Amino acid sequence: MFTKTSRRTVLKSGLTGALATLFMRAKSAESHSIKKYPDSSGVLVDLTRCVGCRSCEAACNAEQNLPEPELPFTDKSVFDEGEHGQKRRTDETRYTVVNRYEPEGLDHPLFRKVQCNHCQEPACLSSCFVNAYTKTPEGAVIYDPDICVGCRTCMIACPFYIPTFKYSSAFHPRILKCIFCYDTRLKYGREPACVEACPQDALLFGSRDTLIKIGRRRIEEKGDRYVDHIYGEYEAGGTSWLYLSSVPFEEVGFNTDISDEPILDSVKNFLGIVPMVLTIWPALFTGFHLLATRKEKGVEDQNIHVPEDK
Amino acid sequence: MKALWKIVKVFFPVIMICYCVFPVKGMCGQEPPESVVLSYLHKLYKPVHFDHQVHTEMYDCCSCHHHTTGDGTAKAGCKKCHSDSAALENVSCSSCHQFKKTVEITQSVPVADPLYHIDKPDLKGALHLQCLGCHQTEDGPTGCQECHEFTPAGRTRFALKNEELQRRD
Repeated sequence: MFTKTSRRTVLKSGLTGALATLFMRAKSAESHSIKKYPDSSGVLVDLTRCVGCRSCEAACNAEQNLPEPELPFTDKSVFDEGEHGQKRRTDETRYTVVNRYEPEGLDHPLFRKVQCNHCQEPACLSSCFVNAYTKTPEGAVIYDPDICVGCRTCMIACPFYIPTFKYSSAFHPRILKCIFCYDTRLKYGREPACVEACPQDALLFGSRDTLIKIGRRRIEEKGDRYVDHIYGEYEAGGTSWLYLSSVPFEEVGFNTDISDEPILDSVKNFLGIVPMVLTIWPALFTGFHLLATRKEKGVEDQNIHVPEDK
Repeated sequence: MKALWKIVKVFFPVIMICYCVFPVKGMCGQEPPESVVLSYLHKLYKPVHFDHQVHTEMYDCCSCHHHTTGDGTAKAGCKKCHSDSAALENVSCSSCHQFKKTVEITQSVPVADPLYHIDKPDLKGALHLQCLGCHQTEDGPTGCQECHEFTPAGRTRFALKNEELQRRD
């Protein structure tokens, strides 16, 4: 069997293809639009300056009234890797941790501070079906623990593995993470506690736009000292916390596979269906059920009514 | 003997006054202090007594004071403008590096010198970057507690119990 290829079919398929690519492109371009927060503040973390003193951890612990740690904050043994080379992670008792890395070809270790990066388009916020999360104009991603139902979807959604669950109180579900010291400091225009405590100016607080300029300037002025990239400028749609490093970011534990498009773009089609499913489907299927069983019910009614008629 | 004592009695105050008014000039045109007490972080740490004299014996003024002491400059960035700048009246770190720094959130604040000195660390950052940076390359002490002794509030902040004081750092 063979199909006849006429001039008309060639033109037809060519046109369809062209139209398809045009629309597909238009769609992806549309999904690139990232919400701008002109007043967003941020923090520029310069890994070349951090000396791993853990002052930021201690300051965070005090500011957020977190429980006393097992080991004092002066103890450097926490930098030793756990089983299978695992690094420390944030949890319900610590909203920020500093980890040590020993990149090859470098005669000194590098330290990386981990905390919520306060994304421009937070995946935790998009994934939360009870809307417990809020992105404030100041740049902080905060949450209302009273609304949280403890589904932990945000923990899976976060590309940086930041939100943690308070497993010790499963019946009073609570997600915990860094809130940029929003309640006590950021709201009043003050820098977070960790930034205030940093002795090395490795953490610099300011408007996100200014910090990007400063970061670029540092790269430009001391090109031999920095990798030509500001991590967080575009990653996951951009984050409020930005990083400068002297070695490629993957060597100091950063996930460099994160796409520049916000996580929201890849899930919004699906997430749009969720409320529809939750509201329309129960009514729709109840209707179907009622329709399907109406006849049976009618027969039953007849059966009951027959003896009464006698 | 009595006459000599009289001379000393009269001349000593005169010499002292002269010494105060016209101090012995140091290498960089100013009398360097023997030690500097740094107590900016007094809440968590006891004051640090920085032995300035020891450092002046080992290094040039400009290796720490960038370009303000009138003896040239060692920094490539400063050389562009300050290769032969005169000594400043006040060369203390805090005269340029403010104690606290936040990058202004509002962009409307005019920058006096928009080309240079814009990414200047605050005082705490400047001191640590300068001291620790040099101590790392020159094999000076680099542990936090080697310079900073905790106050009781500092011990609480760093969750140090009394018995753990020995194994600090």
